[in-house]
Amino acid sequence: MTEVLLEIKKGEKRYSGAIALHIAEFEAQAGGRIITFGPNGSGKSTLLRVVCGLTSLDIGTIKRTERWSELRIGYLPQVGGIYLDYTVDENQQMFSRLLGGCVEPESCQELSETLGLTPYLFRRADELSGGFRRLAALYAILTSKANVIALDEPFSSLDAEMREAVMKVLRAVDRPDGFLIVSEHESVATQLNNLSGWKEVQLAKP
Amino acid sequence: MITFLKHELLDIATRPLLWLGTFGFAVFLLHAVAHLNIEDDKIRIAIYQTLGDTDDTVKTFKPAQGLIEETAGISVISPDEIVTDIATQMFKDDVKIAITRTTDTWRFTLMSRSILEHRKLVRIAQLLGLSLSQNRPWYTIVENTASSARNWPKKIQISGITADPGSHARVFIPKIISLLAYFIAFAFACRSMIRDISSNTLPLILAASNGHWENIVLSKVLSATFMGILTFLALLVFASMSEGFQIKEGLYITATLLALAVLSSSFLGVALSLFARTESRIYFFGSGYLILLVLLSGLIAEIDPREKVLSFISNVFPVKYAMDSLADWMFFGVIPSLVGNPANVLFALLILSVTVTFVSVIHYRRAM
Repeated sequence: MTEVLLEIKKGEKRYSGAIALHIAEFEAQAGGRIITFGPNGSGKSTLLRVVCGLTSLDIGTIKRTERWSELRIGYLPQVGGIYLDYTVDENQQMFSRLLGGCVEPESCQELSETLGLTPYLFRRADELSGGFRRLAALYAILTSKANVIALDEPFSSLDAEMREAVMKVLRAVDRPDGFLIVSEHESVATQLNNLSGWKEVQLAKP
Repeated sequence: MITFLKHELLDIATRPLLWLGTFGFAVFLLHAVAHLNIEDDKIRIAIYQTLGDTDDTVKTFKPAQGLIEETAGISVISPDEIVTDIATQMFKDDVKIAITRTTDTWRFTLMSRSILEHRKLVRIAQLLGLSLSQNRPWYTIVENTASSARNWPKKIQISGITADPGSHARVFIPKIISLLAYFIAFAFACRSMIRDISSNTLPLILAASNGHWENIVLSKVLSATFMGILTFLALLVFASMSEGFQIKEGLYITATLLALAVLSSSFLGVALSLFARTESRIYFFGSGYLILLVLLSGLIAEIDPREKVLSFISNVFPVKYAMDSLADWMFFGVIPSLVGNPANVLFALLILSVTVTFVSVIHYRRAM
């Protein structure tokens, strides 16, 4: 039986009294891939923040596996998530250090090639376009040994070619001890959902 | 051009808190400057009993005290207990001129930090010597007490405690060293936190620590404190090489006290950044804090103690206490105590800054 790493029941989060997230049930299993989608304001980012332990629920219960504290959590926020005064390579090294180290050098090289980042590895992030900054932030998280990977709208700011590259990369992500959770708009989610093995979590405006 | 000027002015006009706060702060600073105690320090003078004093010599102290107060108009303290270490007692009592005596000599011990201060104290000591000499009509006070007149010393001796008094500007060196160490720790803490907020890497590193804020705050505070202490040590070495200060015994204790102040400063930097949330606000707050530090921490002068509110604000800056103990150590080699004040005050202020940081984290988390 697959281990349940995190479980939310009747969860609700409010900001200044207004409901930002309402979710009846949510479950993340070891090795799972989850795509959460919904319109703006449906609480996709809030759900990811709750999952990563950045914020807590106001109502409802959240149950984490006993070994949750041993898991390394890699979170990509919706915007930013990269030091602009560091090079792509420095960012990757810095965040890998925080997340238990770096994957094999060959994998790093393969990933940078796939994302088209190789020519920019030693360029400062503030010299890059918005799309490449996004890829650099994604690269830093995906080359780490994080068990849980939470990506908040990783396709934003990316052109069609970049999106295709990221799709290819996400297909290959495998975290048997943790899980991958991605929040996206419905159009992108549909594309991802065509891939097998993704669990859908649809959110509606509370 | 007019359109852009309008845009800028509207931006300010629609933020009444910003401009009211700016003007209010400027008025407050003006008020603070007007109450800096930059008049001549009141010189504290004491007549001390030493181990060699007999009952007869002690009897001369009261008339001597009266003579000085009568002729020079300076009040003199004369504690009853016997003093074994004059220099330490002078620090304890904040005394600049100590008067002791032998069988035939009045001894004046001066405690000065610069040539300017030394000259000033010498002039006062000469005046006191004149008062204590047998010049009439003042000496009639002594003559009225027969035993005092018999035992009255005829000679005057003036000596200083400072080994190497130099230019008066040196007075500022220990103060500026403390202030820079303190502010650099604050600036590094602010830079670290605000950088993570503005680049939105704070949630990323927070998630990496499984949502444990204490890991993030402590790592930022400790690295900023390290930079502050490093600045202190570097400036101390520079001061000893180029300004003639000696690194005396007690460096570790003095550095420990300064580290307490620097640690508080780092906590305040983190707290202020979490409250500010944006780079533009932290530049504003940070520069205001620096001006407050310069004016109210005692760098230029102490605040008039009659101004209760200003004095209270001044006493809340941890750097003030570190400044004073560093100055006493650098000039006179006085080793501060880790028991009692100022260590207790610094420790209390550290707890206060930790509490403020805790509140700022809760405040920030609420909006996350």
